[in-house]
Amino acid sequence: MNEQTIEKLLQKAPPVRTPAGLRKDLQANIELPRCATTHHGPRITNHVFRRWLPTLGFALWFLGCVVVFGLQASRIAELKRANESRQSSLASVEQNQAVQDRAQWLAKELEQLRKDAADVQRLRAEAELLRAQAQEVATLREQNQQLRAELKSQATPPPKPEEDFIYETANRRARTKCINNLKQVGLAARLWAHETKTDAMPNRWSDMIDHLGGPERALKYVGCPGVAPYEILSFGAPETDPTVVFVRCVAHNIVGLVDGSVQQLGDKASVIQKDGKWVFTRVAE
Amino acid sequence: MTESIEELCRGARAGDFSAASELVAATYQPIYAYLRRLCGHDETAADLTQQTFASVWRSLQNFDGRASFMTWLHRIAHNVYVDWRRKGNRLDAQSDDWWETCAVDQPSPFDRTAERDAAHLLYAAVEQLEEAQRVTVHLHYYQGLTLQETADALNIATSTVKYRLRNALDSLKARMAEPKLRV
Repeated sequence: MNEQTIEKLLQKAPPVRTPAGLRKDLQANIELPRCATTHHGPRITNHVFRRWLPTLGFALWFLGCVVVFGLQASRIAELKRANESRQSSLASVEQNQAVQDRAQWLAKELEQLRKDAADVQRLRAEAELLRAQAQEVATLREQNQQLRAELKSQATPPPKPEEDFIYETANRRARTKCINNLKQVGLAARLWAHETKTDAMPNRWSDMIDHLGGPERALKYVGCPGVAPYEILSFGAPETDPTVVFVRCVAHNIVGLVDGSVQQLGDKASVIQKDGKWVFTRVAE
Repeated sequence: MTESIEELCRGARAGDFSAASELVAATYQPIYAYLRRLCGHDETAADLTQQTFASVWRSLQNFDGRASFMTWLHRIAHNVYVDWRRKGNRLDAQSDDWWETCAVDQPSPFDRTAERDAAHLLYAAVEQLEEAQRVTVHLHYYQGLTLQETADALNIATSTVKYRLRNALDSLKARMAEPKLRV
């Protein structure tokens, strides 16, 4: 049996005999929906309401959103206006502050200018005073020159030393004092060279302060009292050459050599500069 | 016929009781036949038919007309039948006598006795098919629904209907080819 035959037989299936009372029972049990007959009006309203309920709900929601949006927008606009007014007031305050700062700066500048002007006035006065003093100095200098000229013209020859006993005595005491001082200086220099083991004279006066008995006592040996300070000719000179002059008293024409001896200069001895050294030499007769 | 059924359906939806009565008269026989062939019992088929039309009246307002009324009606009947099966009811086997008696008042569609016997064997083989194939064969061949209408009634795709019918025909052909059943 092929498929066509099977399909033909299936399509020829005999109809089923229906029970006799089934039709009447079915017709008797018909229950049509009430909405279609009796309650037409209200159900339509209910139906319309149900149909439009989502739309109405959305419309109410949208209306609520619009109202809220409007309220928010008005609130935002109000806040913006308040913010603008505050910004304007703040700008005015800042402007006033800037003006005040400018005024304070100008006041400070004015005060500084006043001070500068006062300084200028004071400096001008000082300059005037200095000019006046300079003129006075010039005048005094002229007077001094005139007086010196008068003194030269009126000067009388000093008495001869051998004739002036007091002068000679005082000069001899001063010379003796100077010799002692120069010996002390030479001794201190040699002690310093011995302690430092350099075999050379000190390089400055301060090196010999301790060997001259301290700062106060050392002041006695830095020069002839009331005449002139001693002149150190050979700072740092080696003590191996005994002819090198270490210190000299210009007033008494006495020199201290690096070996610690003191020599009187005069017609028979002098100090010369030889190979960059101050050397004591005796004049040959 | 189809247009008249659709018009009666519209009348019933509008609340016309006479239209509903005529609609019952025009459609109850194929529904009863469908349920009777499936369940195999007269009274059960009558009850299922009553349930089917009760469901129709409850759902008539929801009928949107996308499918034909008969298709919709078959779909409701099929759902009623499925609910009945889910309750644990068993099918009564169709006897050869039933096929004889069910058409006793009408002329036999078979010309020869051999063809009639083969048809009876074939119908018995249909009842032995898998449930899904059996229902599909009933709707398409016995009830005369098209493939699309069968698919709408079963709420499945048309391709699924074709697949089920193909398998059903293969099964039937195989059963009919068996020595005991061969005519």
